Amino acid sequence: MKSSALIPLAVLGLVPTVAAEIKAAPSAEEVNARRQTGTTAYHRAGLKVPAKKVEVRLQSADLMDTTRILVGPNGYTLVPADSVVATGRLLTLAKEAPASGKLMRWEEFIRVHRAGLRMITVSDEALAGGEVTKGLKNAVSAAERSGLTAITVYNNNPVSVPKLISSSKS
Amino acid sequence: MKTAPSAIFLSALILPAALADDDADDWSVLLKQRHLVAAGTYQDYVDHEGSRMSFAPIPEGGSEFELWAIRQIPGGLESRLLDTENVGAYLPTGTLEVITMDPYDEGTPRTRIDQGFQVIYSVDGLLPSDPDAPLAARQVLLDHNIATYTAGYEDDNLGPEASFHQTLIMKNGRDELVFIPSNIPGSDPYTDAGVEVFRLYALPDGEIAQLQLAEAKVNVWPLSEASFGGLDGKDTFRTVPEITVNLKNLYPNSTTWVQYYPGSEKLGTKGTTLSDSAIVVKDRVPRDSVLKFDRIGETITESGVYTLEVLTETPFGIERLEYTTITVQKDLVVRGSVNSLTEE
Repeated sequence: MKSSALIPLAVLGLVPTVAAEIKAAPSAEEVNARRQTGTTAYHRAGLKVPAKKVEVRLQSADLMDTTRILVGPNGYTLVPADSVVATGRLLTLAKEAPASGKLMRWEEFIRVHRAGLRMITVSDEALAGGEVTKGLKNAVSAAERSGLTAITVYNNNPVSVPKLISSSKS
Repeated sequence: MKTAPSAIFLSALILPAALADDDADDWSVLLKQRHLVAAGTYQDYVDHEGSRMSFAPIPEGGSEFELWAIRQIPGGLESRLLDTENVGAYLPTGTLEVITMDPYDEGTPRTRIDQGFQVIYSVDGLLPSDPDAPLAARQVLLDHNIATYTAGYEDDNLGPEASFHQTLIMKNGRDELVFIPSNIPGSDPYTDAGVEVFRLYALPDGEIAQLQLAEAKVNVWPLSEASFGGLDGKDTFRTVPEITVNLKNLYPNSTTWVQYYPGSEKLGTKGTTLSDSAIVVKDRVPRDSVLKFDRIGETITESGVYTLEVLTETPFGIERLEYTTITVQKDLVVRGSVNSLTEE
């Protein structure tokens, strides 16, 4: 990007030559009078206005918008936000990485913290947005009573199931 | 009816290209798959280079894949988004481009508030005539936001975006929107400035825009202003005094100068340029400046009526920003009590 450059023409040895027509600069009144018609471009193009305003969810460049930190006594790991459905005594859930402690891959983390974790396997249907089954709800309730940290998994990897979270809140 | 791929192969060649400045071994690579229609998010670590199947079948609404590099640093964690990809049966594609009369090509396109611009949009992959196609396959959203500059024209001075208009595009193809003038809100075109932002979104669930297909922006700058100083409200002189011209918001690609010609004001007259009075602006944002010319009395030596004009040349043409008409009377004699005109 160029920085500011105000250059006297005399320095450049250039003198403007007026080849084009000289027009009056537009006045504020003229511009303001034309500013009233902002959305006519859309009407002119025949584009349809949504019946109601469409909600826009912008993609985030912050990993922590969709991720949480599961912290144990021997280190911490990253899990999808909402994948931890019950927090127990041994492990805590955080939005920021701890200042100390070892970042672990999931396999390593569950190996050394197995005693504090309960993994709840979810089905393809639940992950594809299907209704949460009674069996899955019961598994979450049992995990909450056990004092263990419960996390939903698919193929042994942590996954979030938004409908499970929303049903537990309702 | 189009069908969604049940799964896809993902391949990545991430390091060292994406993280060339760092020690690649410090970084782990995390792959996330998120179903776009209100369902699960999967994640797992992957190798720095290689390929794998998606974690789960791609649902009709599509999946978004994100590739993140993470590493531990003193005091916490550092992450970088390396790449994203969206896959689905009904994910249209789209492009957006803003065209203005300013040929500037070093950043966001730009124009002036009175000039307007064109938005060229194209959409492909919609299935408007397929009766079995879901709502997501029949329309995309064009979202138009505006952010205004609060003080100064640097990025730090840009306020938050506000929604201006939303519209649905329901057919494939290329088309254009013409905005004349620009849509920056306000009532003072000498100060109103901002950025107009256009984004095209797919609507994977038919309702919520969460998959951006394209983005285009245009910077809109205010009108330029000029005013003469040094004349002290007079219009008749024996010798033309030192004159200053105050210039505000000179367009970032402009040349501004002062010309004079004998006679009363007449727009379009090609006069004589005061050669030591021109300013060239080649910048990213508008600039203010002051022109001083103290030897005009040596240039205009004959008695008569003269017009001084401030002209600016921009990509939009040559325009007269301001003018003043003065009378030079070499034999001017003023008697009496008018203190400022007592020369003999």
